[in-house]
Amino acid sequence: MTAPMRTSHSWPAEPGPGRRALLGSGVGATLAGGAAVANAAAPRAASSDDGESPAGAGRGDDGAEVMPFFGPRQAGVATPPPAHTRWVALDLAKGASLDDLRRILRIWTEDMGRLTQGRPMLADHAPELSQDPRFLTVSVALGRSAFERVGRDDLAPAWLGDLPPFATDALQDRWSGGDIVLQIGSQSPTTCAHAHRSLVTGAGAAVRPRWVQAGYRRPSERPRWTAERNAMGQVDGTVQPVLDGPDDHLIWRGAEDGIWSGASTLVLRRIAMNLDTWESLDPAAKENAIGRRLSDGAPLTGGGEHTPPDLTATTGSGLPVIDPGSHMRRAMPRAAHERFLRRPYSYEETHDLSGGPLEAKDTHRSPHGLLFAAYCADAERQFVPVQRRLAEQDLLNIWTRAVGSCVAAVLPGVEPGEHLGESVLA
Amino acid sequence: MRATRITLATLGAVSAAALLAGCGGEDASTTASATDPTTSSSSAEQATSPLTISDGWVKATDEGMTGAFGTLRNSGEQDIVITGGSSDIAGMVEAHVMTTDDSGQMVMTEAKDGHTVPAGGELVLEPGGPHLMLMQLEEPVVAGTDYVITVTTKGGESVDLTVAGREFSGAEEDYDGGEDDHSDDEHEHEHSEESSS
Repeated sequence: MTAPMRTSHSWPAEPGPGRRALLGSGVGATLAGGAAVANAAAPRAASSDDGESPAGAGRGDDGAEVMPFFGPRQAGVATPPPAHTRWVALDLAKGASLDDLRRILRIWTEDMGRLTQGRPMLADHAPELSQDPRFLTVSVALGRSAFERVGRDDLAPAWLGDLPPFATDALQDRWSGGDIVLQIGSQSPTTCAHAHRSLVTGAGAAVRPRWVQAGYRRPSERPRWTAERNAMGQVDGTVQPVLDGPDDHLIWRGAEDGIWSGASTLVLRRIAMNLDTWESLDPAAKENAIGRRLSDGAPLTGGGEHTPPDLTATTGSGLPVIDPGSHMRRAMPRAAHERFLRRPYSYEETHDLSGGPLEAKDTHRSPHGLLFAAYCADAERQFVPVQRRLAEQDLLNIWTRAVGSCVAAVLPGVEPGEHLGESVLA
Repeated sequence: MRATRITLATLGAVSAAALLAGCGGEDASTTASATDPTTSSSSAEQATSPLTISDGWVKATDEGMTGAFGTLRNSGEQDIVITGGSSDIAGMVEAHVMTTDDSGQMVMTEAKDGHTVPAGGELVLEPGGPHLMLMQLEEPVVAGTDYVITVTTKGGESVDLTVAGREFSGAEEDYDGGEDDHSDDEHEHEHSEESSS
């Protein structure tokens, strides 16, 4: 996409290494040479001279723990992930109309504009809680079923579809689907809980709860893009597209999409882990399964976390150093477009320690897992090929199952005076 | 129904304030209403009224009565006393206050002296405190919809105040001994379907 799009949600004071644009280190080289892979570091803005957020509205002053609300794209996608995020799926009530959906989005837009900036909503039952946003973002996405529910499937964008079934799926309704998905993230779980309850109750009887999936990352002073260790102990989330730059087309719908410009697609997969069997492995077997070192996430062929792996390297006995079935190798893009932004969060089911998603033959199940949140412009084109490859072969499949799945269109952002969904639901 | 803004002058002031504050949720985001053709007449008529409301909202309910809240501001040099009002959606609009009765209970009564918004000051209308009471509702008050309440001042002026319908679980004291307003799940559901059709 070449449309001039100013950096809408770049982090004002992102620390870290230089802002080198990672053009040229991409997948194309990988495909040609086969010896290096795209290995962008944790995503960062490709062109943020001063980190200024444009619209002027919503950005916190120094010290104010707020994230921008207004802009052509919703916050919560390309903004750094906070320590706590929950995804809240809602279904529209039976008989709900397009007007009802618009009305809910209008309420939420107004509420979100306040809550994210640390201001109480109208009719706020706990205004004091609203004054501690801790970098709160709320992002609203619509599943295809929302359009069907209100009898307006014609308004759904063509690129919003369900994922095909995968052999490794063990999907449960209780973690899947949803007409509306709210993504609520903050450094404070208290803030998340307040925003969650406020927004859902504010929508009244027009919506019904479907599921809630809450996850966590390591605590930090501010939200940040860093690769996290998942519950298996692996460094996860190393390779990411470049934000607010040359990879925008991977994450966002572009100007050619008209009213859907600035939208994205959320793919949320709930990945249950069997730590019981995983923990029976010795470290070398664990590293072989992922293709990276446990200690620092570096490829087994050496270097650091962000060093490209050498897929041609062999051991003394002629075996590949990086197992052809390793997760990293299977997940690597085979084409430049097979990439997407990831915001993974760990989860732990503290309320349900018996029974559960894994099949009986998988013996014991631990209540740990990963909320694999991916954002892309086109899930069918970008996400599905990778997932299909992983379903075909991935050593990690031995210890993991997808038990939930959801695809939803992240609505375009709003400017002051606009309401979420206003243009696309017209 | 579509809402009208209170005054264009107010709208501008509020939006500017919101932007300066680095935010701009409700006030700015309702500016779309300003394009409503009905705005022009009322704003012209009231462009000089010093009485405005910010963060105005009215509790959603199916029927009966409900309360309206918000921060009233008086930019004028003389106190403004709101004695009552009217609205397209209610048969009666009164200024109400909470008082303590002989048994020590908080009860809702009409403010005999009205609501005074001091010159250059403000009066916060809130649940459990002074508010505007809408009675004999002629249609449900729906969350996410804006409504106009025309308040009458002691000086005989009429001023349109825009309030946004919002779900709220409090402000139940309004209805003690009054019409059955409590919205249980069944009612809510019916309401939802009603508003869909």
